[in-house]
Amino acid sequence: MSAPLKISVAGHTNTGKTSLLRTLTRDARFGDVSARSGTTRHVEAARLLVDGKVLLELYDTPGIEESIDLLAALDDQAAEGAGSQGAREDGPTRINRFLASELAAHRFEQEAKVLRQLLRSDAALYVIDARDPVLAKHRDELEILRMCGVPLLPLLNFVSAGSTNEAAWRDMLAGLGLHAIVRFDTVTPAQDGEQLLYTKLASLLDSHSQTLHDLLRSHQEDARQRHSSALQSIATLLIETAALRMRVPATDADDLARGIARLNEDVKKREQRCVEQLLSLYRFYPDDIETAALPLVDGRWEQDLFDPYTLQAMGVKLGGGAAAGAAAGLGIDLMVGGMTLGVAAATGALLGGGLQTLRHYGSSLLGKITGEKNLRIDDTIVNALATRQVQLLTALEQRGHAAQHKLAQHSLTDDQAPLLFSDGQLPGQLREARSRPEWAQPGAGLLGDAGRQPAIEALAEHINSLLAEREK
Amino acid sequence: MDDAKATFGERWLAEAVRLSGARTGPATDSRTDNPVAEQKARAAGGSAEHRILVWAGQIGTASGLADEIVMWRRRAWLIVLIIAGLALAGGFATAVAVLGDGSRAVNILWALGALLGLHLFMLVLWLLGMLARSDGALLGRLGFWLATRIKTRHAGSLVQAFVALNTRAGLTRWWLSLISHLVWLAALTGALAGLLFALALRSYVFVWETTILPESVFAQIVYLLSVVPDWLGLAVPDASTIGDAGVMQPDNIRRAWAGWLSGALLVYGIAPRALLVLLCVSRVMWGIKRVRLNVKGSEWTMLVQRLIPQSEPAGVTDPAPASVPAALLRAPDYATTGSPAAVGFELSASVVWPPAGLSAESLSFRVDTRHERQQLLGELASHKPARLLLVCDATLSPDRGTMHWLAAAGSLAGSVRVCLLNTESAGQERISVWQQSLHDIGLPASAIDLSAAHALQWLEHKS
Repeated sequence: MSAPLKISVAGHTNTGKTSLLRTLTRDARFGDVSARSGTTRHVEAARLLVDGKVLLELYDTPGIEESIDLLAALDDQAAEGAGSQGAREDGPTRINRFLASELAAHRFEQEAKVLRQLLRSDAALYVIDARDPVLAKHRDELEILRMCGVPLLPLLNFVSAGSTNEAAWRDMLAGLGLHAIVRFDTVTPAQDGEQLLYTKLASLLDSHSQTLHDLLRSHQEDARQRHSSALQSIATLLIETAALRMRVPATDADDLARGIARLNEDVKKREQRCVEQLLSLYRFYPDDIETAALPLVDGRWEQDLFDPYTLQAMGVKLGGGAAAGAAAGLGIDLMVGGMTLGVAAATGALLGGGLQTLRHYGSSLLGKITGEKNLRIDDTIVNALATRQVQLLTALEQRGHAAQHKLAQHSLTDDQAPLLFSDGQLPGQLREARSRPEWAQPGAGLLGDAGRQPAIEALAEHINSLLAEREK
Repeated sequence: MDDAKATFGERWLAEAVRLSGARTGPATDSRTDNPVAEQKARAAGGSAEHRILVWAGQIGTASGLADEIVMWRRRAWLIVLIIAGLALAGGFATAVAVLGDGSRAVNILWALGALLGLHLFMLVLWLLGMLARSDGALLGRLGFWLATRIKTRHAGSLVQAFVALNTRAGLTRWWLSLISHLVWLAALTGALAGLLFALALRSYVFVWETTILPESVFAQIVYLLSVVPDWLGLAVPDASTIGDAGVMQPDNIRRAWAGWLSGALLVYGIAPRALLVLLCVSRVMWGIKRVRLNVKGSEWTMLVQRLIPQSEPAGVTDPAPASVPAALLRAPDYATTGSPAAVGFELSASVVWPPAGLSAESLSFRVDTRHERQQLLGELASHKPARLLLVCDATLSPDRGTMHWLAAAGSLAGSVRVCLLNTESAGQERISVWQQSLHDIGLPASAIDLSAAHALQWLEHKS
């Protein structure tokens, strides 16, 4: 393989060039982004790698701010040049002459950086804020950039915004002979946005199309990998929560309340750990501004899972047991340890982990005699937990790394999203976890854990199929 | 995605390092985990698993986890050896006790049952367990349970890592079975030794006793039990030669029954257990060569993302300019007596221009292109307006080119104001950016209007 492909990102000031780099590199910490124009005044690079090999170098350039005066200066120079040499110069020669001139070092220093970088690149993305009207300065900008003689791919940013001037932009670009245009919203990139971008780029850069397709394939594989990892994290949380139980003396209301509080706290901690895992997986950091775009506050869920209002907002109706115990979200398990013989026998638990199974029955029976109760998390809470995590995952997968504003539609209270397990019935793996308290901690049962991982994987698969169904 | 040359021990270490890290609680910022090890792993290149193994090797050596694994392994085998030793002694004692002191005749089937019964029962249990995709290796579980009692700093992670790797590969039950069979092999070998010891030093009479069974049952049992020893060429005594209690037996008959008893123990006890030990050893050896880290699993994803980064910042390649010359408003050096002028700057086509409230005496212009800009500057210079209203679209970003032209135009009029349109859709943030930029060219905040009507009143001098 030869040297990496070099792509410059250019455009008028404040059209989201740095945001585009953030989204393409999936690095929310690349560069500096603000509403103020001219935030980026230097050229900054990022590399895209596949299997440790650099395939693509992206260059974030400063915004062009004085295209009209710059084109005037270039025209003046051309007139002088034509006067002395009597011939029309081609674009790159004119640009090079400008870069060597006094103007490039002073008034147009920022623009000179863009042009210098463009001359060194294999292609350039011209980022357009599709909400802006098409103005003379934009036309002049394109005129100047075209002089550099590198393939130019216009990229319409903010196309998801309510009203855009997309049609006017397309007309203007067509007039300049730029027909390959890509729509790419850096805040909420479409699922196939990256694919379209690289495919169009590949069609402009024929000799590099293999590189771009390799990159694309690797990114798609990574996205699949991330998605399945995220589902596994969620499935693990759910299995562990379903398996959780706590033995409390049932006669004393204080003990009961304390047990409930401890259990609630435990579940909240587990949920938080899962949230952190998901954030980290999708490279959102709790202390970053981008994370504020998620339905979280400081990387935490705003609403307490055990708050009755949260549950109400999610359309969760609490079972009678929980209501009787005045404990939001806790089913008080009066059955024999919540176990059915059927489940245990079906999994061969009686044969393999026979001792352990018997011990569970034994301890439940003991509870009957001593008057102790098993507390565990209510089905509806497990369902709500699943719904919330899946919502977060969906939000993470839809957000570009350039997002800076919170989307109200992701807020739980505003949106009565249907519960993940819509029939209210937990899937088989979770029902099995109910009878497997040792699944609540990884490695707690050690040899009895054999079924835990397969159950987690099966549950992740199940959630995935639910999500796929919902998309249809 | 795997590393063919790595050993099971290295993968075990990697899994243990991961788990021991996870045990210390989730780091809020996992990027700071161990930058040195991650750096080395990235530099090592190769597959994801290879990089993980390099990473784990670094951390394992530094934290002493690698030495701990060696120590743990040694102690675990020691535990198995001790259990096996106890089993050997127990088997020996059992055999001696079963035969007794020779003062009374030995019931041959009773003795055989006592020597092989429990072993065969447990063997069937193990077999059923294996068929149920679990294991019935109770002794293996005991051995394992004892091994988990080993106290080292990271013992928990070590055991968990071991189980996790082997469970994923379906090997755990073979390990447990191996321990079980080893212990039973030791016990049965001890029993054989005890049997031979007692037979060598004492004189026994072998009998067959029954209260309710007919004689033919004994012959049937002996016949059935002798099938396999017969194949193997061991001498099988005639069932009819067994005597009743109290009857003197010739030496050769007694020797023949003693041989039959030992042979049965060998064939039905030691041989199957020895074969199963071999089976388990080969299954485990075959299996651990194929154990791979689950690099595609969620437990490794985050580390893999860091060890094989998809993107990396390459830093600033061209630094920001120290300063770009800023435009400034200047007061004109001539008397401004011309009628007021309104200029629509870079307004989109949808904006109606001139504005409805503009009176006939005021001039109005609309500029966008280079030509229009240059032309208007010339006109303003000759017209010398007393008041100039510059109308801009607040939704656009104020850039340096805009500011340059506004400053140039503003410097040609007696007094100048800027009116921002579309302030609602622009948002407060964008408006303050405009205000700051205008302030930078020397326009006071009082000269910025957010209301078009107000601005026109000023222009027409009605306020």
